[in-house]
Amino acid sequence: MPYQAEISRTNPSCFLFLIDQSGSMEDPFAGGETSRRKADLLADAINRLLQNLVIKCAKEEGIRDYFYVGVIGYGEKVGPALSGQLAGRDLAPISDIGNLPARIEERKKKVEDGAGGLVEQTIRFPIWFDPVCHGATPMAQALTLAHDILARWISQHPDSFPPIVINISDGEATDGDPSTAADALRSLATSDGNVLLFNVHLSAKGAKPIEFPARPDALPDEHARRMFELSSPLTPAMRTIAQQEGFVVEEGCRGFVFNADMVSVIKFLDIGTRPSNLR
Amino acid sequence: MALSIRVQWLPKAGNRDDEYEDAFWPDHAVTTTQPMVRCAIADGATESAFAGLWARQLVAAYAASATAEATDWLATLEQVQARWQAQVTARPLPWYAEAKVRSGAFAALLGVTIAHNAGASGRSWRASAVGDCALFHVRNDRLLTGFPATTAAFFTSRPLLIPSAPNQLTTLVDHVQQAEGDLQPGDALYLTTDALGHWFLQQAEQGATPWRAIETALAGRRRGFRRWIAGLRSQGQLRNDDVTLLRIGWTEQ
Repeated sequence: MPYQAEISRTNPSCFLFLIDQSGSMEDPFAGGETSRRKADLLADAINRLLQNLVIKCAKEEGIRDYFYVGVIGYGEKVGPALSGQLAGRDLAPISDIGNLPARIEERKKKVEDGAGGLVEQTIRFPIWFDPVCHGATPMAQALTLAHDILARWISQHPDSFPPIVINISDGEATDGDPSTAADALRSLATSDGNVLLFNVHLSAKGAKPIEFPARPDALPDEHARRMFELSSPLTPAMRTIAQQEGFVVEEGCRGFVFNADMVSVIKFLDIGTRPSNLR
Repeated sequence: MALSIRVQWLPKAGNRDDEYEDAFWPDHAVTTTQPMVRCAIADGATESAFAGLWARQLVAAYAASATAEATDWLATLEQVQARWQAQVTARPLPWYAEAKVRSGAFAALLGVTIAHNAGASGRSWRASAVGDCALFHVRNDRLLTGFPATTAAFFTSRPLLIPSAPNQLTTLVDHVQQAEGDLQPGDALYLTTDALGHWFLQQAEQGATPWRAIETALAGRRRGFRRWIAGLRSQGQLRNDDVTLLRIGWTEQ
């Protein structure tokens, strides 16, 4: 059975995020009630996600390197997109991510006081990734770069839980059909299964959100259907988590969300990055 | 007649001994004729930080409660929670450890109190549990009681655990399970954390006698126990998790 490998410090796994930084990401987000730019919302989501991944691996003595993590941006250029001391690195162990944010901001958060009320707490909010939106959408190039990075990583970690790639885009590749590059990426494999490629499609249209579809029929346009075709099916363990989160999922459903609001996007990222076999 | 308490433990394969996050009480082998004996095991949740500390504080709090009531430890829980909070925030923490502390630690706890029966010659046990630690009572080569788990399927769901943060669960008392029984000469009680409890009931459901394998492993002391657990793990019979086994026997002195 694939996708059963234990994730441990001696056998870590890997997450690679591909982030659309094209000019069209400047547009307001169509899937939610907010008028904020897609790029801003996405940067927020990625920073939160990196925080959650670090926290998941944190123990009292420090951060355990259960994962390697990379963020690749594609827009005016294609390449590593983290800021600060991690700039230029395509993959970093999660302890480096946790210890080397570009900066730490302070944010206020309301928490329950245990007596039925709320109190405001100041929490530290690390930032690794700033919004960028400029240029075209060279998605095929980004997928090819992901392939090269992961082929190298897999040769060093041949028995790991397979790397998970999460591509977030407004879906309109400008450097040709990304299918060939995506096929090559998904055909990379460890002894525990193929690389998983999941897609989040932030459409410019205010169309109805569709989460984890098993068929492309309900998707409104050719770009969405192509993004669906690029996506790997969810593993059985992920399908269970998605169900627990309240999504309706069928056999064969894909790691793909179309036009979901940011809450769903963050849930999607959480499902894609919540391994059940962390040791 | 005396109560004899033996304990063995192991961290997850691939982890160091200091990364073990279960806890047990008493923390060493004991043979005693005391009229009342309190034993406990706890399992700190891997997802939280400072979970081993929380588990150790819980078993110590259970053991320190002085009555024969199985749930008297609940009365001191708030103090234990405050102690955990004070201890983990005693030094400055990096942002991620601070976030971990904010969400608190979680642990399963199972405690058992063995006391003389009032007016009778035998002894009785009273247990209370939150979460998926397990107690098995074996008499005459037969499993008499499993508590709170009675089937292996019990271990496949996510159990409710005891939080270190007071505001996480104000209705803990509703989730405390209790059981009791009498203890006769020759009986044994096995307290285990979830991985070994799961294995135990799977074996019992297949008609096997897992307590015999445990007795053999315990006779081999630390090295024998290590070898036995490593074997179960490599055969895929035992999930790779921290393992704790506390055996209480009532035997000739």
